[in-house]
Amino acid sequence: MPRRRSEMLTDVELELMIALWQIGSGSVREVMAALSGESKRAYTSVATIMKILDDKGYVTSERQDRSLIYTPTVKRSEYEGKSLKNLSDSLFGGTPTALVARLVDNEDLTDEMIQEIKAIIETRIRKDDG
Amino acid sequence: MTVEQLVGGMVWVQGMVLMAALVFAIFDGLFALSGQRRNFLTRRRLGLTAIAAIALVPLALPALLATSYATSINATELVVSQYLKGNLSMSAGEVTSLLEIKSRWIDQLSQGSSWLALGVLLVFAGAFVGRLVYLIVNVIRIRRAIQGGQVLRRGRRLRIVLSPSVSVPFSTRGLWHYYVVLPLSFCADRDAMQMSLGHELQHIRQGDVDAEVALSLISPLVVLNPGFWFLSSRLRKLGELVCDRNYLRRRRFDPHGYSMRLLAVARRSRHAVGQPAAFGVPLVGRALPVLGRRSMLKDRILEIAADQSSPSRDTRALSMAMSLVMIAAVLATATAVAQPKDWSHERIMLSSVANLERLNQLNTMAQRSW
Repeated sequence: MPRRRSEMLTDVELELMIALWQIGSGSVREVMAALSGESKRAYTSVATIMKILDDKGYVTSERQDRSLIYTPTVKRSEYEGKSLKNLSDSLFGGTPTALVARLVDNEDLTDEMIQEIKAIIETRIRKDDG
Repeated sequence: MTVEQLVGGMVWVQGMVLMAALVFAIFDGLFALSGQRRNFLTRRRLGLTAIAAIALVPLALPALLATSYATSINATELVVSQYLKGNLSMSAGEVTSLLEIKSRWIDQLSQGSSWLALGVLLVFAGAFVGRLVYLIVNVIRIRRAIQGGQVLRRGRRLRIVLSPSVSVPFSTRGLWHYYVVLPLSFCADRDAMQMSLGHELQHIRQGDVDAEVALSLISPLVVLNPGFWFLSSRLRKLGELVCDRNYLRRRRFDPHGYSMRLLAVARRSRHAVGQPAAFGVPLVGRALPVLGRRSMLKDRILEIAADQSSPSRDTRALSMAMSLVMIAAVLATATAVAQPKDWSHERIMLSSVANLERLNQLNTMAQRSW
């Protein structure tokens, strides 16, 4: 099943995308050749990651002769803008924790604690419709 | 203002906050010991009074120090008096050195004359900047939540906003307006919306939002002061307990449904995006590290259950009386630790003894045959 296109790239996926952006489009072997010297990877690993990138919607594939040719669907500058927005969202998004009174505090509740609290509510607080 | 005055002022503020926290902890302990632990409103009022009394100290202290009672409770005078009565087995020089320890530290800090002093200054400056950045991040978050949301109601002093970027309802204030921000997802659940709105309005009504904003604004100055975190976490918890109790009493909301919704919101916000975990608990200021894994939500639920089985009500007269006692206690403690305005006869006598000791030492050295 195709994954969400909004997902960000992992380090390895980004490395392959950078190689693909450099060559414009190419097969797995051509992407491997475009990788920088220190980061040589096995053919099967690169093929698997290219398939994941296809699932995520970052590339499209087209069969030519006997191999798949991958083409980026997202420009490098677009992805960089998206990364910055993602960083900004994770830093400045979400519920504030200072200067506010919140309905519930920002607690790191474990599953056990949640079960314990639920049990207290069920056994010690009666329903009161009046 | 000189650097020395600035450092002296900062040291004074740290000491006062620590002292107010200590006085509040004693009062709070007495409430627990006397079986009045569930007087949350009174306890919260005492915490707020302790902080407000600090602001009164600079105004009241000069007048207090001019009274004859000041000498009898002042710690410096007590030490000098005990020394002159022969109850302290120290030399006059050692006692004088002990009494001047604070001014020596302030001198060292303001001149940065040692590595330790420089280290202390750097740690305080770093914590100040860290906390300030954290507050700025939160101001941006609040602005984004409000500006990116849909205004549901625009009153004279209150705005209710539905925001897609938050997972937990909250209330805050700007210069002129109060804001209640609710998650957009609550639209589908009318009861959750009503409960959250009622809860947040209760927070505004009982002054929790004003207190939270004021505490946050002063927090960069006292970010490393354990007394501040003790006071603010206690006030926040007591504010929540008072809010739950008053809301359930006022609205006749079903406590079971209310508790289940609190738990549901807490579960939803467990791994919410955008929580600045990297800043750590002390700077975030949502719980004290020493309290470990004690859950505030669990404590709130237990108190809701206790209120249902044995309702408790605060007495206004007791609350007012205790607040006055708290102000008196903070002012008395501030007087006790303050530097006396003038030197008393006993202090002059100590100085004379210290000088005689020094002369004697010099004479002994002069008579020594090398």
